[in-house]
Amino acid sequence: MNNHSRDPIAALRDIDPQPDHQLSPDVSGRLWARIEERIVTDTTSPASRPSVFSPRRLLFALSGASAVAVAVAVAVLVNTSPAAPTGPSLPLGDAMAMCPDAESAGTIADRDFAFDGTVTAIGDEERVTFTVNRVFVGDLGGETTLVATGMAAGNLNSNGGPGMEVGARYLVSGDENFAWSCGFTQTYSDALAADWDATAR
Amino acid sequence: MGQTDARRRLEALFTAHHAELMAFVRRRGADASAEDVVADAFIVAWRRLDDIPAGAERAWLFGVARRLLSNARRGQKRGMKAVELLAADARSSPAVETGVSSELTTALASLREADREVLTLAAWEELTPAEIGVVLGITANAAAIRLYRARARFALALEHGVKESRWLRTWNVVRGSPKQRRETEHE
Repeated sequence: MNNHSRDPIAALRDIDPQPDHQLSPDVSGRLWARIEERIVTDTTSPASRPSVFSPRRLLFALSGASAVAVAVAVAVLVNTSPAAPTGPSLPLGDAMAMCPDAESAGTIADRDFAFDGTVTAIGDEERVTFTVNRVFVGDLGGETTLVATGMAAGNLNSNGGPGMEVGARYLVSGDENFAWSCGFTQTYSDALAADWDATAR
Repeated sequence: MGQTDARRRLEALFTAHHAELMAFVRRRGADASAEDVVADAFIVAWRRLDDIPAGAERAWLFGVARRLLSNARRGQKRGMKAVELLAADARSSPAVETGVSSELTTALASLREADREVLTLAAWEELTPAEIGVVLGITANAAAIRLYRARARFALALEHGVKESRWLRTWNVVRGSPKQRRETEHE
């Protein structure tokens, strides 16, 4: 088959430099022996830490707990910052490093589309169908279906995007046929919609 | 987790993933030191057993090995001259490593490293976008978008040949920024 007409991912499998994963028992045995030798003497694993009570350790743990509390608060702020009304029109700081095109993400005005929509269906591979209530950016009809990876699988969301549900209303933006997370898709609010409207103009 | 449980868990991880992890490391040009990198990755796993996400163990191990390789390369590169650096980078390209001269390897080698990485993770490691996200330390959403764009750029490189694809390395050059496209459409 011509490489041009094939799925690029399938075509790439033809040039896999390591198509065979199998290792000889010798190699596997040697490797495990090396690991075993090191773990026997390793004192840094969670399993190796003693659980004996010590007042000094308790004090250390408490000070650590304060640090953890601060870290958790920061993490919560980072994770919830996309829901803040100014999300898509302001940079999201370090959290953006995990997001699409972090170096040039811009605002919703830089996206292919931005709209206010209500979810009518969630299909395979996180394909979400929306009734479009209002368009801020781009040309969209009354209904659109997008891939919302990480936002529609029904699992706990750590993508800086909402966990989408049928019947719920969202402000959605992205490129091509992808809804972007990281503040570019958020749960609807009137304040946020006004912000998106201003940003898109 | 007690010592016995921890050891059992590590053994299970090793049994399930060491061969794939070795292939992952070798694909990235570390043939001679592959066993060192894989052993180190499992030592990191041993120390961080509680941090390994359930259901994404393989991707997590790949992510650890990727960082170990990256650190090792940075260490090697310190003190190298520019010409040596370029040669080392060329050797670390998966497409060049294969030694297979073909349209596919040439097109793959013409892409920027980030595109090659996401494509080979999907094709050779058979990872989902969510798993690619774990390896690269990005969101599943970002991984899906990067993969989509890398596929498009690879398809372009295959379709039009490498010379043209080098012109088209960045997506914005291919398609223009959304603002530019809207302005062009309204002209």
